[in-house]
Amino acid sequence: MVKLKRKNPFLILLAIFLLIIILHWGGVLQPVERLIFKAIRPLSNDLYLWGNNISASYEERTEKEELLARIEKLEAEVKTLAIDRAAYYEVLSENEKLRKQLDFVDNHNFSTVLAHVIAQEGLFTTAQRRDLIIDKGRQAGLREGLAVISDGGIVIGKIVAVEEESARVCLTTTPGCQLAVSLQNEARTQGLSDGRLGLTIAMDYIPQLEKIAVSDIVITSGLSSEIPRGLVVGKVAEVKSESNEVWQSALIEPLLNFNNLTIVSVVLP
Amino acid sequence: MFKTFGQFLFLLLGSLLLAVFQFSFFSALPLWGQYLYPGIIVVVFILFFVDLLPALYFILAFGFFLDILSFQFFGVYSLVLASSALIANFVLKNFLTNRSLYSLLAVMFLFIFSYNILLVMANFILLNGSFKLGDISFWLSLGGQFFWGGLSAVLFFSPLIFWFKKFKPFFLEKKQLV
Repeated sequence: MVKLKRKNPFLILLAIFLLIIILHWGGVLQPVERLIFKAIRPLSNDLYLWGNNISASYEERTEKEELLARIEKLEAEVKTLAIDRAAYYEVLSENEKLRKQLDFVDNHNFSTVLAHVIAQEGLFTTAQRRDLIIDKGRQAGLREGLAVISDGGIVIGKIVAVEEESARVCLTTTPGCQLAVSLQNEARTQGLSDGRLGLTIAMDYIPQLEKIAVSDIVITSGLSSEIPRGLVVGKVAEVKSESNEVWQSALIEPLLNFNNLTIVSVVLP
Repeated sequence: MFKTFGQFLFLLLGSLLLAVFQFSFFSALPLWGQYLYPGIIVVVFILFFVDLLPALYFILAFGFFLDILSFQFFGVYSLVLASSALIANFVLKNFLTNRSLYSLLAVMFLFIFSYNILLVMANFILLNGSFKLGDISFWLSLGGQFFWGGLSAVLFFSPLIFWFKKFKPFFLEKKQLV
């Protein structure tokens, strides 16, 4: 009697694995993947919020002196901002009148797509290279290169990869995440910003002749087709300038803490 | 392959939940918490206390869900986890003579090391990524994973030994009475 060979379970597993890979790259598994992602999205969102709350409470500074110093600094900033705000509204009003007179098109017309952050991802667990994963993707009209802003309108990064139901966002502080930016100084200096160590943003190769000051606001320059002009990126925290060097560089401080982002908006130009 | 449909469903749901937890919850924790990879710990426990085949079944399901959720090259997690399991199993069967805590720690550390090295290689080959041996983030991540893996092994070894002894006394040799 001929004995039937027992099926090798390892070969079966390998065959299933290869089949899954082929079906994925062939696009056959896409409806299944989208369904799974949609099903776990609420759970994913809640779990990320839970983890984020733990992270936020861990990072809370409780030293009294530090808090008092921070309050003092913020009060001084509020006073300066109140004066700037008054001047801003005057300029805005004048600008509106001039636009009407000259029949200018409003170039700040853009819509946004609200998204929840559901995970952080990077090859290695490091503060330097963690991208955010959001729960909106191609289906919501997203594509690579779009700017992502916080609920306060500050640019936090841009989309670097898109799937049907999710997208990956690189933070402005991540090395390799570059944005076309402009300084709100006299010369309206333009350049590329790049992340440094997951903590700050740098703008290099600024000509020595350009005058840059600490606290100059940095905005998107609009030179990138996907990112409109005028979105706030940060403010200059330090200027590195040597008289014998051809270039100078600026360190830019983000205006908010990227560790506690849970809701963001994607700017659709 | 699976004795009951229930076992199959349990595997799928369990691996999906674990993948979502690892992807969303642990990635949101402070840096020290992000080094905890529950998926790796579960795979090593299955490999050590049960066998290679159930571990590979789990890896197939868990890796699939992780590949769907992540933006890495599809299949990289399944491939790297499976390869690490094969390496760890080879050492377990050929070089470790008993199922003690030290053996579990050795398997855990070897699995974690293989997983990270293979992930770096996969990133280099598939995604044209770069890696420097002096990259401090790699070694910090490895150290953090070693810590959590070692801690999990120490904490869960005794309860799991008791559990598996109850259902599968493969630690005891049957002696025939003369």
